[in-house]
Amino acid sequence: MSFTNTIESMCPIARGPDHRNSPIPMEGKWVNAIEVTDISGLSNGVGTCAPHQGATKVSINVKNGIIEECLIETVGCSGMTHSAAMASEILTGKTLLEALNTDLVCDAINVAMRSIFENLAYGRSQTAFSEGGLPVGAGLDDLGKGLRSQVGTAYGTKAKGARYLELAEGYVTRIALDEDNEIIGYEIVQMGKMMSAIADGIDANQALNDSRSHYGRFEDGVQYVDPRKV
Amino acid sequence: MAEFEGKERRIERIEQTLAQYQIESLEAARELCQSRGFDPHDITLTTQPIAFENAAWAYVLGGAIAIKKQDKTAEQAALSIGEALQSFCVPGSVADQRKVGLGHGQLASRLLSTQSDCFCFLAGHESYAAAEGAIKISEYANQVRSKPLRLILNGLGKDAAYMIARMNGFTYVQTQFDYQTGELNITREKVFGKGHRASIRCYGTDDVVEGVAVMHHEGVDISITGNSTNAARFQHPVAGTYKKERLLLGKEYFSVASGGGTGRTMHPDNVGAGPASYGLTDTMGRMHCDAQFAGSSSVPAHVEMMGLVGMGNNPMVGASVAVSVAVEQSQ
Repeated sequence: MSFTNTIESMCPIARGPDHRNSPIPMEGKWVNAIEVTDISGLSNGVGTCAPHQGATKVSINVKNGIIEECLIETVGCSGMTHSAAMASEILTGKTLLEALNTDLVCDAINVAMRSIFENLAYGRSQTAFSEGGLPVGAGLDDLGKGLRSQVGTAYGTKAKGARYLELAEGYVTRIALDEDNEIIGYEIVQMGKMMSAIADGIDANQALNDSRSHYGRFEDGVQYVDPRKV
Repeated sequence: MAEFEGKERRIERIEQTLAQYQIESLEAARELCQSRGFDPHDITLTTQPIAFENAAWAYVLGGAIAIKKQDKTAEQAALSIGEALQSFCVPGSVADQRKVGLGHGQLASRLLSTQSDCFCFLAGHESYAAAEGAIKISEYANQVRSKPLRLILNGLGKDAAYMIARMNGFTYVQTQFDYQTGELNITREKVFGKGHRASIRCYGTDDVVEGVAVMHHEGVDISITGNSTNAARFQHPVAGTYKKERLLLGKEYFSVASGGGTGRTMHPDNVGAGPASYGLTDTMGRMHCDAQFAGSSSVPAHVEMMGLVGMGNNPMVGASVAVSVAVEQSQ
């Protein structure tokens, strides 16, 4: 480090404050985060690209600054799904800081990564008060049985009302309407459950019927509608 | 000696509690309960089969404390169970610091109390299924109450309230708040569905002021917050404001902070920067709550991580109520 002549010729004036930074809650402890390796925790971040064509949710589990696992979920853009595939290989093993200037193959994923970095750096993780944090694998557990993302697809027009296509419970096959033609329930197929059953050798039709359920007052329906056809 | 998860970090407190009530060991506590015809260990694992052993033994200790203290009513026994749950908290954990164990006992006691009349699920109406936890909790309590607990939903958004009532078969209560006079006018009630669910009243509000008015209108005694459209913009301010106003009226109100952000530190406002830019939802919950849940309404491992015991918060409410009732019935 070199100093300019101006600085060299100055008389020294003492700096008084010598506090550390504010500690942040992290995996059940309070940590003064100085180095990137001080950071641990599981957090989510969401991002989009300039044209807002789609959105990405990234979840990472960081231990001592290193990204040990990542979950990348995308919606609304076909290219982004392939970017997610690549990013899932790129992200792990990198430090949190390193991941910021790593091309994650899609702006939405880059933005989600920035958002997670901020969350973890400021103590806004999901595991701030969880002693020892979450084990590696928690990100996958978040997907639930059948390992599929929670995706909601719902469409509506002023002229013809709403059509639920896919909700948390699964792929919507029928919507139930009451006597006023209002939606009071829906029938769904849990795709993850169905595909797991088929993989286990169960007949596809049997698996389909076993994975069918409904929500709300479906049984009280006066009329049933296929949201993709009618 | 009974074996359970995280024993080495918990045992010192547990032994102090055992000594305080002159109970020899956790096994002796279980025998004491069994001699009175009930087994909290079984009740716990029947309530949530995937619950951890530490939860089952915490309820055993709770049952034994209630017997030792000669609790006559389920309402009293629930408080003893809270003491046991608290002694199972890992020292220094968030569950320990925020007295989540005692809070669980107090909530069960309030749910069982004949003084309590109305239980409110306070949230934004973000999901058709959001109120399921509150409905389950009221059902646990109603199994043993002489007079059923009334249940209402109070959340931001009138359209959403209408649709949630329609989907679940609740009664939608349409209101119009008069900002000049502070009056809450009911403009329409539409009953969807039949049976128990039709007795659940679902309100949608425009803002915090109307939300507080709904709480007063229904005379809410107990509420539990859920996650919502924006937890920091509606439910925690409503609970906090209502609490202040209820206290001024000389009435009681037991508030449970639960749902997204509670016991975690997610911030509702991502422009937060600099020190302490985390945890606003959690902090607001702490400002009004009598009990704070943390971890998960259903996943044992997530509640264990908070330092409490391995059992989902909603099943824990069920187990607290069930063991309390078993104590009363064993008289």
